[in-house]
Amino acid sequence: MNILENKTLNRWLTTTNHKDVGLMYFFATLLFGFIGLLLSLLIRIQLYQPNNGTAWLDWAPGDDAGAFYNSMVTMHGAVMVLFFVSPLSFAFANYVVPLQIGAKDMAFPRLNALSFWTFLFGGLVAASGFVFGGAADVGWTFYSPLTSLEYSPGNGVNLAGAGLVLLIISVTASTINFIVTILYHRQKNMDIWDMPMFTWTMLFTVILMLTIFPILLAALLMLVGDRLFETVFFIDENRGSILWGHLFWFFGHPEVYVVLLPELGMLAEIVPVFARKPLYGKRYIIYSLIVGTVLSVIVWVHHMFITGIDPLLREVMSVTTELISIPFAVIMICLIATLYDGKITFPTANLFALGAIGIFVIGGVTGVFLSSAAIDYHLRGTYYLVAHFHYTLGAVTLGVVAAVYYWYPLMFGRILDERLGKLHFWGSFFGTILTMTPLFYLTDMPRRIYVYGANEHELVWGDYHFWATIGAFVVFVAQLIFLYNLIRSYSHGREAGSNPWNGSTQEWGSE
Amino acid sequence: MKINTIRLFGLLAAVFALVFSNNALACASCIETGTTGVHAEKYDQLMGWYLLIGGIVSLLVYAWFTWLLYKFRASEGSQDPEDAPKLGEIPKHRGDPKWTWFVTVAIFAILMGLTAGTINMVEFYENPEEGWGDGPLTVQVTAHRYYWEFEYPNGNKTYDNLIVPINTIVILEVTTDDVWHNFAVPSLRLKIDAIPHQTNVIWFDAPDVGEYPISCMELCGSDHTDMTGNLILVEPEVYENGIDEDFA
Repeated sequence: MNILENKTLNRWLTTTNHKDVGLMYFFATLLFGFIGLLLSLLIRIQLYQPNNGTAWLDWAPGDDAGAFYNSMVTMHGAVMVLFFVSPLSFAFANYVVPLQIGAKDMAFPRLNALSFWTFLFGGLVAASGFVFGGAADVGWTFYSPLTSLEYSPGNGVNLAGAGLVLLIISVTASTINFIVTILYHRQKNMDIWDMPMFTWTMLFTVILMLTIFPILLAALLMLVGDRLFETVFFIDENRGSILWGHLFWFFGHPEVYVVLLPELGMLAEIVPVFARKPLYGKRYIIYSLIVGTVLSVIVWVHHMFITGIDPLLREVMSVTTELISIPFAVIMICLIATLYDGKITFPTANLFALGAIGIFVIGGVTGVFLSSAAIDYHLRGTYYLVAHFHYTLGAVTLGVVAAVYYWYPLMFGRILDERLGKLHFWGSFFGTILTMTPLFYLTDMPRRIYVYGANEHELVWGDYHFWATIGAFVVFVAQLIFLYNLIRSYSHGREAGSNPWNGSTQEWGSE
Repeated sequence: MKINTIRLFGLLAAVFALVFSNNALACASCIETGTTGVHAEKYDQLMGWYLLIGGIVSLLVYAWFTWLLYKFRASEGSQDPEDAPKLGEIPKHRGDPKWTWFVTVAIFAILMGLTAGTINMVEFYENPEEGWGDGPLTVQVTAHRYYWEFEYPNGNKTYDNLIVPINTIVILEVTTDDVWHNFAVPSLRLKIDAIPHQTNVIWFDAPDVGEYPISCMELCGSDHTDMTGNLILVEPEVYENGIDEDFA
């Protein structure tokens, strides 16, 4: 039988419907998420005790254990941020935003399908390095000249670069699509101030993405030039190396807000529904989002405090970085204040949302420490930093998973099993805390080393890494429960009806 | 009843976990050993302020958050609030601008206080004149994949071990021969990037004899792990006698 005559396959390969595209994003990001999770487990196994040999690293492709470890940390970071958390938000955005604003579909449905397919192949190309002789092993920051042909002759950097270029094509098409859809395809009677919060945050997200991803594209094209056509943008003696730093972080810092903003929108949808009260200070949240979005593009030098740049610039960027904590603190306070006078119930979706707020407070406060140039001198490049950004990104992931529980009934008509869901939540919540809290103590341990314990002091690090590894396994088991729940509830879940959570936004009234 | 007990237990455990992790912030740097030098002293003071204020703020937020969750939890027979979300209705505006302004101004004030300390500290790191000892003694540091090279004023070189006298202002001029590295001495709260074709300067002044680990804190390639060394602080006489012979 001709495979192209297969109706199901044909449908999914050619669909342009926003719900179908959203579902495909959903499954693809889950795949990437599990790849990222497995990489993190391998990292944790390697670090669980001092002087751990490299035995298991040795079956790696190539004969270089260090390079393989480096490629794992690189791909874990790149896959989790660029191909898991952010696109998972886009899965919901594709599915929910047109419904929330009463649009028939995205403004450009075919472009939307193109976005998905370039995203999928981008991710596969970037990860394919593991099969083709070694994935990129230069850290997700891609600092030049480590990425130059001289120091990284392999295919890994080329493949990761190609994957990222595909991702940027996808993102650019997607951002234009969302901006046009949200601004011009709302139903006639919906004022922009009446838009639901998730749509609002997606609007800011895509505007921010459209601002920063072209910079990364430019930087990547220059890097490709350096590697393939003998240009010298980033290996030039006149500050070529630091040029990469600026270009990368001009993209790289706002990228974390690209990841964060949709999650804040999800929390702002979920918390009011389960507190049975309107969102506190919706307008203040929107103003804060405007301020936060603008500030996010003028803080990037805090990643470069110790590159020897002008002290005045360091002080200015310290201040802007501390200021950016204000709008996000206001948003968190408003989310918590929403609970006041409510009638709070605790289904799994709300547990994940509240857990995300709880974890985010720690991530945010430690971020304020790191915003200080002086304190960053000591903590930069250590496990303290690792713990900080895993707390923030951990909170983001909990928030996005809350959205999975919240919108699964909309997408599949059934409610995810609550009993399994609660196991999943408590495992993820305590697992995250157990994994990341011990790492706060390791303020003198460098990131990205795969063996430690050369002296008595380094042996102490082992106690902390041991608990972190236990925590990582708790998280992993919880995610297996989640996977089982996703599959089982598809056929066995409780029927959801049209509005299982008593939500107020329009997607619950649609067919 | 049983379900409620489990819920209460869950809530308490969550609060405990968050307070525990909050506590970890306060204990950050408590496992470090062999701290010395004027930078470490000033740094720990500044960090102390950040930790204290960060700890208080987050504990207040957690206390408030937990109280709200407990106080306004749904109980049997409780009614939906009047303004509960209803399908198809735009929720009423809720919120009072004065609280938002209060939060904004309060955080702003706290941050600006902390920032003043930060700016002082940044200036301090820039000014070797603030040290108390002799000197300055300038050492050229060149990072290689995967070792450190130190060149002293008289032209002698050592590898991986930097040997300098105590109670002396030491100025390090750091660069690299190949890719980005990062020269870090955690015990002295020192860290500076080593960037190709560029020299970055950092200084220190420490009073205690001893060995303090040096790490590379920027990924520099497959043997990044092995790029370690020691800062060896010695009495000035030892340094004077030793540096003329082959110290390494």
